[in-house]
Amino acid sequence: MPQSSGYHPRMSDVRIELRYFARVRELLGRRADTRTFPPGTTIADIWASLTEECPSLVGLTWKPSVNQEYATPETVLQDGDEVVFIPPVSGGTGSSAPDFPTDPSRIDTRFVGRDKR
Amino acid sequence: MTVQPPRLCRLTHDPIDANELIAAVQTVADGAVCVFHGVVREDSRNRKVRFLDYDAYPEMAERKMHAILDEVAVRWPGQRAAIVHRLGIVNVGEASIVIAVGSPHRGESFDACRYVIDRVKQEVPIWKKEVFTDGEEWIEGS
Repeated sequence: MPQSSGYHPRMSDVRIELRYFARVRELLGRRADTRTFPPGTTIADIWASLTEECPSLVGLTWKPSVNQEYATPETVLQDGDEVVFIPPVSGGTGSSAPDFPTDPSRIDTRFVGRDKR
Repeated sequence: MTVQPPRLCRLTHDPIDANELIAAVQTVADGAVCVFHGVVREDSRNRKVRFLDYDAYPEMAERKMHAILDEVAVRWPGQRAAIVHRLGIVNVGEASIVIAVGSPHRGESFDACRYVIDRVKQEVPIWKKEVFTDGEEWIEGS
């Protein structure tokens, strides 16, 4: 069958670098993976595939990062992205409770975007 | 204008020398150097801690620590801050983090130092596992 004039080459899968830390690393029993996923894959999709492989991950709380910046689970990944499922950051000896970072109401907006180095 | 010393902002597996941080932030214009030590407590929720084991996403942690020092530079111009955070095993009584801020006056020095430790706790991907005499546990927001 001849190709129509509207033919486009199929996009290749995206190659994602996954790195694991703290409890996620211990439960999976490894520090990193390189995996390929179909185009349009989100961070939540990858987490779903990990929980299928390792059901004890179910119920863990995390916040994702992409290329060392905090992101959202809906983020669609690009080829070469480095993704980490970041557990809540350690609490300390202070009075304030441990917390997820980047709650917008807690961040001084004067500084947003200043951490590109 | 005087030349600023290089910024001290890093992760380390070795014990932290607070004097190194003080030297990195203090100038002759300063009337105050505020130093915070976050240290490992023996007792956690009525269990005896043997030591803490710190894990980090190191590239992002250092990037976020630098971003916090950038925030200090904007918020308190004319002050300098330094952060050193330990990774790996930290024994009871030892410092897991030391922060130093050099300032013209004490009020802003305390304020900036408090700001830095609070922001580190919010933003920097470092986790600790408490290792007890009878087990271990990752500490997460709860």
